[in-house]
Amino acid sequence: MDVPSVRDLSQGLNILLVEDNPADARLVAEVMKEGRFHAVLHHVEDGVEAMAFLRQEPPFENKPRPDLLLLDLNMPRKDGWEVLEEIRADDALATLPVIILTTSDVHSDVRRAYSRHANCFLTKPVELDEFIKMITLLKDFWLTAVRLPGA
Amino acid sequence: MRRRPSDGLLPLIAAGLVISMVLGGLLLIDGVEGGRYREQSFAVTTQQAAAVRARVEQSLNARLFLVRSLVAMVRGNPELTQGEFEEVAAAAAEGISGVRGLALARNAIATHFFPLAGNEQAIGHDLLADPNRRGAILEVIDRRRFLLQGPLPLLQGGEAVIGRLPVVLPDPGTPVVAREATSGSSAGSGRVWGLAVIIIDVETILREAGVVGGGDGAVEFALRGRDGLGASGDVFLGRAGLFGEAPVLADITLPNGSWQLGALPQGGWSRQSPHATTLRLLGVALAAACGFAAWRLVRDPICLRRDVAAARESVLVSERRQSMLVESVEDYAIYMLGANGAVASWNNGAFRIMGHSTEEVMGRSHALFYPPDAAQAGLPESELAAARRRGRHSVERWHLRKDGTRFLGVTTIAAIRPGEGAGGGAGEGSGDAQPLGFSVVTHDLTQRIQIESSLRESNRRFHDIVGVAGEFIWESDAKGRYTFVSERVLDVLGHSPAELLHCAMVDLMVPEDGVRVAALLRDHASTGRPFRHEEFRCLGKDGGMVWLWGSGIPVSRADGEVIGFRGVAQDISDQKLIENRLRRTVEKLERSNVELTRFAEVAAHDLQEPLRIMVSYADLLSRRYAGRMDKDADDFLGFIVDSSVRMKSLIQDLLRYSLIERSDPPASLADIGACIREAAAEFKDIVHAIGARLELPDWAPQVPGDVRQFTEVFRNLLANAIEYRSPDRDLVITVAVKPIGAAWELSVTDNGIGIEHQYYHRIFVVFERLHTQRTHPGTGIGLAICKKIVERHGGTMSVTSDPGIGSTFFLTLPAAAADEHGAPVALAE
Repeated sequence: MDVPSVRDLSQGLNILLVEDNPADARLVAEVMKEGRFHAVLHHVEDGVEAMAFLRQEPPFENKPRPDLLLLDLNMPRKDGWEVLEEIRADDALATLPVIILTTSDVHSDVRRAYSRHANCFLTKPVELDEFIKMITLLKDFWLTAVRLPGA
Repeated sequence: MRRRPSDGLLPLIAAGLVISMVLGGLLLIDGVEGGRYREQSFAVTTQQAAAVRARVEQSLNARLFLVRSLVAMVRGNPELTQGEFEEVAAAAAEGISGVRGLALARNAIATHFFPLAGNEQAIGHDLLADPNRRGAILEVIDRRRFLLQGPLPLLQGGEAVIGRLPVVLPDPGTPVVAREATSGSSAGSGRVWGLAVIIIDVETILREAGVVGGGDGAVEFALRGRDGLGASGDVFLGRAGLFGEAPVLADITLPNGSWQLGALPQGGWSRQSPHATTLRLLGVALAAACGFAAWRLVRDPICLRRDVAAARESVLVSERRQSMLVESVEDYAIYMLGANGAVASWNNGAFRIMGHSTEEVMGRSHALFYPPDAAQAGLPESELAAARRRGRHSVERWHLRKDGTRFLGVTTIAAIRPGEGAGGGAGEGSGDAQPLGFSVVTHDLTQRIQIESSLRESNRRFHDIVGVAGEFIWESDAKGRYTFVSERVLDVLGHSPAELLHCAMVDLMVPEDGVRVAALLRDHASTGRPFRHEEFRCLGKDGGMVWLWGSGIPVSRADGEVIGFRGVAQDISDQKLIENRLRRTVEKLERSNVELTRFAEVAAHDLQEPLRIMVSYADLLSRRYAGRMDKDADDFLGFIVDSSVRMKSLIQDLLRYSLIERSDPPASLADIGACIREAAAEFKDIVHAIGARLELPDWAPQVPGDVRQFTEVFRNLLANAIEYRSPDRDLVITVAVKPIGAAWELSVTDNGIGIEHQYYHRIFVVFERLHTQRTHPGTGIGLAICKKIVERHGGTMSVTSDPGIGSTFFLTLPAAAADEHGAPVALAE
């Protein structure tokens, strides 16, 4: 699933995308490509896989520890809310920046996410251009302005 | 009743006096009577004694005469034989009873005897041999006089008197006899022959004289003077003691000496007459009767006087009471008329009913109380005449009050005749005595007539209502058992009223409702308050369940005790059915509404997701490959992108529509003016660009509701007006406001293309459109959203339009309470 990485500022940065819809996951990858966001994008399809990946449990023993987590909320087996809680409850993972990336723009969801210490809440725009713009902003912010704990 | 003490004593004293007087008289009479009786009995005794004495003397003399005839016989024949003697003696003694024997004793020796038979031994008996008699015999011979001896007991039995008479012959007799004769005082010369003797039965003499065996026994006799010794002789008859009891004495003269007769009334000299006891008893009875009569005579007047006084008092009290009563009666006019019909008395009720005061009517004719026509017709006189004739006259007619008004009343006129009480009872029939006057009683019937009429009316009303009411009307006793049920129950429950009588109403109910209603009745019986709108289920006669809706009120007696209930019950089975159906429908509708809302939201959300990806990839496709494919591919890609965009806006509108809350809007006031201004501001550029004119009202109200939603309404309406503007003229949009009743009417008028009348209702339906997407793009949801918002706020939305001239959209919103209208707001910019 690894996206071919492009050498730039973001090179070497590992991002884990937790998203059950493959079309959406691919769209994120394509949009990152359009926005020249050259990070290593790992993709898992639900919360259970996400936790295994983060803890480098089989089959993810050889996977790197991600620097950013893009987390969808509505997923089968284990949803984004549970993943967020487990991460914040786990000392080893507590410092991982979590960005909620979802289609929801419901106010209550936003409040809930922040109250559980999500680092930021992004609603996927309907327009492609908007999406590309958002990802570009994300890249600029997280890879240039922000100092990450794991770096 | 007062009662003097002497009142009780006086009759007793009188009675005592009378009794003692009568008893005194009685004593006097008794004494006189006793004396008289004694005198009478003395006289009777004396008389009887005299009679007896005479008879004894006569009897003796008659028999002693026999001796003289014997003497004469001997003188004639001194030598007569026994036979001759017997013959002569028998002849002499014939017819004379009580002669026991006749004898001759020559020379004092018994020589002749009659009757000889049985006395033979006496012949030869020397009379002088008995020394006891010698002296007497010698004396007889000597003195030549009769000697009567006895009574003596005879040898033969019985007692007898023996009489002896010397027989002296004319020539000188024996010397002895001669000597004797010479020695006698009166003896002549002659010779003593002997003695003639007679033996007389004493008992016969005494019986003949009535001393023994005869008489009435009223007088007791005793005789004394044996041998003629008189009072000094022995008692030979009767009680010796009699002579010690002061008898009546009579001397019976004998030839020599006498006997003494003692006579005494039987039982001695009685001190009182035999009738004395009767007399005394009668006297005492008389005294008692007189005493009683005196007691009554004295007492009765006292009692009578007392009774009269009491009666007079009670009559006075009763008269006083009666007059007070009459005076106090207010419901009846009671007055008296003189014989000529002039008013003589007037009571309170008369004043109240007729209106005349006592001073006004006294002495005036009673014609005053008749309506003029009746008075002219002579009714006052004819009624008095009728009362005079029949004693009483009663009539129902019109009466005249003082103020000239009339009333219907009953008047009874009664004639008062002499000898009747003041009340003037009904003197039946007798019209002979001219009445002293009349008593008149008048009762005003106005009120009664009114009451009767209103009662009748009320009864009829009740009857009509009971008849036509959809409810059945019932009454029950305190235990809830029907005592009356109207006919209507037959239609409701199937039971006839007769079947339900005395049937407990709760018994007809479904058990749980019966228990509840029974408790309810008990409850309301104790509080006395009515109950309303109770629903309960009954089982009809056909077994079906009937819903009833009942109200009732406890019925109380005057003392407050609840004696039953009455009320109405209505069959609400149909309503109940509808209600249930309605409730189910409402529930279903609410559920379906919630589901629909949820469905719309979910659908909108979930549809967005794939749409977003579709649009994104379509965009991505055209971004990377546009112009690098052929013309067709570009067109197709273009259709995909357009449709995706349109679908996206449809979905977003749908979401917007479904998100309009159904709940009540907020109560806070929204400034309609501000909403209009904000919406207008959004179209400022385009209005300017198309050369349109926007006319806003000077003032708009504040109404309770959601500001954002009101703004959206005006935004949609303005957008609509701009969208459908006429190409032929400059657009003019006018927003106006005016009050209609308790609501505000806001209108948005344009001079656009207008809407055909038949489409008025369609334009408010979601996604309904009148134009093609090409001429007028849009989803067709704007007006639907407006309508939904206005209706949520309790308002209405409508449109009028002239095609080709313009349209006006109206919306009404309920006004806030009067003082919340706020200050007018200037809208013009």
